[in-house]
Amino acid sequence: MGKYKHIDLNYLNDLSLGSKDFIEDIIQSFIKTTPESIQKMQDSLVKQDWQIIGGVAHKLKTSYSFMGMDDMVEVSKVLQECGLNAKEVEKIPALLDQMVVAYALAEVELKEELLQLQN
Amino acid sequence: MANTLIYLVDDDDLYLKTAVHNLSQNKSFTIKTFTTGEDVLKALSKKPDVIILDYFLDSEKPNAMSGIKVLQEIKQIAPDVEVIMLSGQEDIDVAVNSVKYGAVDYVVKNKSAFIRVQNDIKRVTKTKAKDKDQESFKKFARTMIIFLIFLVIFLILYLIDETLFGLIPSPGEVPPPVEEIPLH
Repeated sequence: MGKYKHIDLNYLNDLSLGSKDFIEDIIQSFIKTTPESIQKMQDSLVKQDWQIIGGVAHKLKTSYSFMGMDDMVEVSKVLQECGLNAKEVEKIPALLDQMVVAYALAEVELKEELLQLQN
Repeated sequence: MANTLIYLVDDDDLYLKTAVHNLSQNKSFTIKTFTTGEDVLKALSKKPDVIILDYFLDSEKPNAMSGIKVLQEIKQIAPDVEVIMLSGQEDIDVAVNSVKYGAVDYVVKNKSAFIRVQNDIKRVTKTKAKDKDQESFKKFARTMIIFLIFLVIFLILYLIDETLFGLIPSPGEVPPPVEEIPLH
């Protein structure tokens, strides 16, 4: 069991090759870009632009995998499939809601990690 | 070790940062990053050794060039540049298309991706160095063969008629009298 409940930074630690600056940079980028990406998908949902939702979800998969958010990697995969193929689009709103909550919980832990890295 | 110029193309900022961080541990690598295929095509004149190209470059911008289209253009403009295709997930169609259009490998962005990419780069640069050595040797061999052909032709002509070059007078040939210049 890791230090956190909603994130697992083991993979990011491996990728960092021991660089705290790198971990800090990636977490900050994640905190900056992920809400923008989720917002973009929500806007696209209103416009029923499924392709954009699929494309953004595709990119988010990698970001979530860096943060050890395996559930969100799976949610992103489903969103990508639904979006790019414009199939089972009725699933999308619930999946996006799930992502909003998961991100909010993860952000708290990521900010805690950032504080520890900066001290 | 010679410097290897690597172009890294991905519209995902987080992945670009991570890839640069990992690949730049190898001091013989010089890495330049691009977020679009259009930009990397403009920079081909700098002759990169390897291009690491994301397959899904048009994820958020449907009008952007796709990875496969960029791969095709690269191979048309600079066929010697080796391309390693990256993809977010296992997909047999992506793999087949990548190799079909000339990529040396297709790497899934998983936990072992950077190790595999580094091994690919080493393999590609080694093959390129070997090809270069072979090309230099071929050039040298060609020059030597031409030189030897000329030498043999010269010797044959010389043996057929030693006088051809005016080096040795023919037997019985009287040398021309020396003209005396009257003294005044």
